[in-house]
Amino acid sequence: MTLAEINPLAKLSDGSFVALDAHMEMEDEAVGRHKKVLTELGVDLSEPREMYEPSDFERNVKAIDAADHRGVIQGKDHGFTGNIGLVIGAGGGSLTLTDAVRNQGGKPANYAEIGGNPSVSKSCGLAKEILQKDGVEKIAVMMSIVSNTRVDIVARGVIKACLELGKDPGETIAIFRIPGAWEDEGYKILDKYGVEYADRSVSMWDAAGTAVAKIQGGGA
Amino acid sequence: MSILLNEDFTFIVQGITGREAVNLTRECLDFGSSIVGGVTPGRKGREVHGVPVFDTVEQAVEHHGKPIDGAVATVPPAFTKDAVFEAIENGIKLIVVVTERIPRRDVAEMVELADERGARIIGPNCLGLIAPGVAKMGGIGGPAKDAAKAYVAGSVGVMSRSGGMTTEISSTLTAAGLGVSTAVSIGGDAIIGSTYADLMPLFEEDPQTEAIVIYTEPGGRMEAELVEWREEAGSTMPIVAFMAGRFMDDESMKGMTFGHAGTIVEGKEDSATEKIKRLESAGITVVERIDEIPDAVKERIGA
Repeated sequence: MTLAEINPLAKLSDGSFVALDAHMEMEDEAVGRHKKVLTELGVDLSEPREMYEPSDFERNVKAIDAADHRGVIQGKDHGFTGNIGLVIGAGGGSLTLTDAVRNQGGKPANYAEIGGNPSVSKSCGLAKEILQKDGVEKIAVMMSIVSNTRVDIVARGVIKACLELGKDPGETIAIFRIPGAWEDEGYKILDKYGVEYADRSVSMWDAAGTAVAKIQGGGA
Repeated sequence: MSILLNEDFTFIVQGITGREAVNLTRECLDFGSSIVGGVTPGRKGREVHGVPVFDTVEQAVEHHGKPIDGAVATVPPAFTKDAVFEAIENGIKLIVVVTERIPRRDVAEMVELADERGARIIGPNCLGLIAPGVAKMGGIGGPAKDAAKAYVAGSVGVMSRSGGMTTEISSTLTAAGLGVSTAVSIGGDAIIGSTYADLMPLFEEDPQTEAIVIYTEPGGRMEAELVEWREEAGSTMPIVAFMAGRFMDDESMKGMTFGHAGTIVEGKEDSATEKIKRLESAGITVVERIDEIPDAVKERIGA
């Protein structure tokens, strides 16, 4: 529990107190140990307590993530209305890349986070969901330097997504910028399918700029 | 020199038989770290990459024959508080908590006990710390050969709320010839053991460190505390800050959560815009792009 705001508080004639109304906030991490009180309060534990109704995209990505325990993928599109599909990752990397796209005039179609070491099918699933969003023709696949996530596995996943949707990976993936673990193996696969990629010598900003220019034209 | 770590620094890995802990142990040993034991209850007598495993921290200390300097805690969230308490009770002074999704109350209790006993916690939800050419403690930078690519010894101290971005920034500093004195992934949670302001005095005392780079995000008061510390201590050490998540200030993003658990904007004061203003008012250079960091540092140190 991180916040309990009780107002009004009433004093009964026997001297005891009763909370007449309260606002409480609990972090997700603590829900597991407060199941009893939450049930008593009538909180449905399976209900995602977001501030808004999740979109089909958000629900689908969540289902793909839950289907297999390796790695984590997240996707959001609430408030995003652009046409640049973002297959991006790590907490800080995703924030940095979303800023880099927007600050160079790009309009993202979504936000995403790839974390840990997801399977080929998970990376593929995320990329497919993004590519099937209205108005999205191309994706940018970008992360900060990775040490746990494997570059070659993400490369295989996003290429598979293109192929399964009948799209040419070389045309569909505007830029692939994930340096780090297993990068040489990843670059080989990307070469084979004619996908433009960048190593760590290309900054996250410049990779994002390439995506904006290729997808929206002009750009930076 | 470096902060927190040195050539003789010894540590244990709590939860050493877990899959990620086994990898982390390999990486740290290859980087030159001195891991003197591991702990997993019920697994005494085993070895992980030659490191002896014990049931308790006490057994590990007894086997080592003298105090152990540090511990990396990589145990499930429900057990992390107990593991950290056990490390502190056995005289360990530096504890890196890798685990994420620990209930906030547990973290508050861990940090409180550490304060009382003169111990320091780094994290939770972090990748640890690295002193290039000396040692690394945690998964930071990945396998030793990858870590050596991004982290070369130099003059800049790095502190980051994002583990991955610690390496991205350090790699940029290394490529520019500046290098890194010590890089600390401080963790992405709302409550962490060591904030920017907590670590600054150590960097100030370190003769190798000439400037600091911080990676920061919306949410929390840590940047405000850094500014307060800087003013109170009269510190003039050059600091360059990179603020990610500026898009979260947009009206359409209100109430949404992104990135780390601690990246929640609860009031106007912890938005990106307000934080940037506050940092700049204290003489801290705020850059928009990661690749602008090396030049900003060089300008500040007159290199």
